[in-house]
Amino acid sequence: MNAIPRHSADFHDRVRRNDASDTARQLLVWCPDWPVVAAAAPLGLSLQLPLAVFDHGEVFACSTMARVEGVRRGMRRRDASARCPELTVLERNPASEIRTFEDVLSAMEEISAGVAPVRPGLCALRVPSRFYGGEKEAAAVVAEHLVSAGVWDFRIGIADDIFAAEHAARRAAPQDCWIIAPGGSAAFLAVLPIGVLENAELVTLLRRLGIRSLGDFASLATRDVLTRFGREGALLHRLARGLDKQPVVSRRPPLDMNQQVSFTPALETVEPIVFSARQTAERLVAELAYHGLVCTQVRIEVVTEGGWTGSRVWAHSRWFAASDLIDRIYWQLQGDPAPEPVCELRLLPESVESLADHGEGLWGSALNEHVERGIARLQGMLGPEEVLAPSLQGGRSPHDRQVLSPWGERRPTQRNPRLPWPGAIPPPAPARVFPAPMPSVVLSEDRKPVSVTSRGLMTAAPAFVSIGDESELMPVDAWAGPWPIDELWWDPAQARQVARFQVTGIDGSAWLLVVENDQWWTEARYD
Amino acid sequence: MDSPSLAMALVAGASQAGEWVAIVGASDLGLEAAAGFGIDLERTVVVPRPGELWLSVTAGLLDVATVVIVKPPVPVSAQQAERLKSRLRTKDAALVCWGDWPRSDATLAITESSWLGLGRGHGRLTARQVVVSVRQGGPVRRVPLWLPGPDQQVAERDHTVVPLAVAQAG
Repeated sequence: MNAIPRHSADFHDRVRRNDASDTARQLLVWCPDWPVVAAAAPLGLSLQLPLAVFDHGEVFACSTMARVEGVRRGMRRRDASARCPELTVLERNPASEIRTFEDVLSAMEEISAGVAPVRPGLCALRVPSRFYGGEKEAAAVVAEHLVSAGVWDFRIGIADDIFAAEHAARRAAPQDCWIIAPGGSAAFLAVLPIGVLENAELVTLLRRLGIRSLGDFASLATRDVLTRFGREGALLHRLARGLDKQPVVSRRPPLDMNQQVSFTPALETVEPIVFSARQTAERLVAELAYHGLVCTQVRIEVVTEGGWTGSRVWAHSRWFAASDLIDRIYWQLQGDPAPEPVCELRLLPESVESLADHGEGLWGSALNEHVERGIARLQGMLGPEEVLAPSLQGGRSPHDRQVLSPWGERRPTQRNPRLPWPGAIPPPAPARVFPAPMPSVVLSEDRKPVSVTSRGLMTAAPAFVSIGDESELMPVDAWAGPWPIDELWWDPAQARQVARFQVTGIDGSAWLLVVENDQWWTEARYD
Repeated sequence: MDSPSLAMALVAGASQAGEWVAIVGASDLGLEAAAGFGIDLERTVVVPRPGELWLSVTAGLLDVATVVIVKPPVPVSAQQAERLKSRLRTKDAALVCWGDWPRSDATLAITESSWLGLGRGHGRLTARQVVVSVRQGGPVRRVPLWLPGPDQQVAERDHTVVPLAVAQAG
């Protein structure tokens, strides 16, 4: 585990990688029957024996030999023993599952950054194909490394997204990899049975409707799925279809989505920490849901009194529900125990997904689809407040007359631009409107500051003007004004008396100046 | 080019024809002026603060819009220009740079400019006469323009108006 500060080299690395190649493929390492591996390891049992791990009296996982004999998940102990008399019964050991998987994760982190565990036995990483010269080669390197680290039974799957890669890994032979070509997720997933969606309610419902495979589900119209099955159904529907041909850059959520909880006094054991973090996890999921988002990767940071920080990114093949987050917190604390009492726990969503990101024509016409998609990608890169739609509104100063609002949000129409606004400068409008007016100095012929009285009379004609703080004095060629405005004179708190001027310098530049309380500002430039 | 007015006048034609326009890195662009030149704001995307990612943002916007006005925050290197060039060719889009751009197909600059309409304490800015120098691989052409003229349109200019005040002083 690394103590990585947020937005450090890792973040810029990730951004640069998005820069270099638009398709971010996922490599998934799946260690089948991991609970068996983890339970057998401390006892030194060979995995060639028939073994079964029991949880609450039912088979939770079993080894290959046991499966051959007919043992299946969910069987009761008596049935399992009847099928296979030599079965060795093991109790489930979640702590061991996590701890032994930490070793695998450390081995993987030696050859690649950005390893994100999904759950014990399954972890994802970005395909370092460029570095190793191809995806098959990269998988081979990962395989070699795992073997030398002592992990024997694993499969690798490579696909556009984690969900497809997980199922690809199941198809692969031991220590081998199964690659789904870019854009081939849909075709691959189509033949899988509907049960793989793991949402019991939805699966039973779909089965009753006659939908048996993911392909059947994917062929339904998106709009219908959203109406009938809600947001969750629509997101699963998108998973079933595989990613679009133009993969969307995983969206970086706005910074204020982070949640954290502090413990005073600091807590030492795992259980109370997880218990106290429950509400925080639920709050995070609720906040994201309020904005129409779900979290697909989360960074969990554990901070101790002594300043030690443990940080790990967790991925999920679908998205995180509150219980999933709590599981990951538990696993992280188990796998990499904090050396000192923990005083703070932070949940930082690293990537989120929204229904609106994939412009599949849910709303809006097909013509603007590619525009909406491209803009969604940019919003993912920069944040939704940085990609803006321009519009004009009423007002007197050039700055008031234009408004930029985040793309997709309804534009706030406070002031109607078509109504007359006396005091506004007539066209042509200035080509450069400074976001913040620059303080300026206006001097008369005898180098004295020029001002405007409350009656709108000038004390002297402007002869020199200095735009902005540091610039030199420029002689004035022509000027016009004052155009005084007495705004909100009936409200003493908000009353403003300003006067505007247009000024041209002898170098041909033209400026819009405004004076208020004897202080001059440059609002715009006619460039 | 070195003037936002020139850039806006150039893209206005495409916008009127129905194309999408994007503006990157220009946090001080006057939107009313843009509308005045003929840019349809309904089909415009503005990213005023791309920060370090301005190159990828510009590349991404070339997917969205046919014409992109970019104001690079730092001097552009030749490799960065090359990267965008290939994308421009595949996307059949145009990039207008407010600032310097290495090895551009055309460079426009305003060499002379005078505003009309202001006197000594009266009048208001009404029109701008400019001479634009165009370098497109061959010799430099000098084009006199109204930017905008008294009718607020951009047009070629065939005569020069000399303000009375200047004439009297001269």
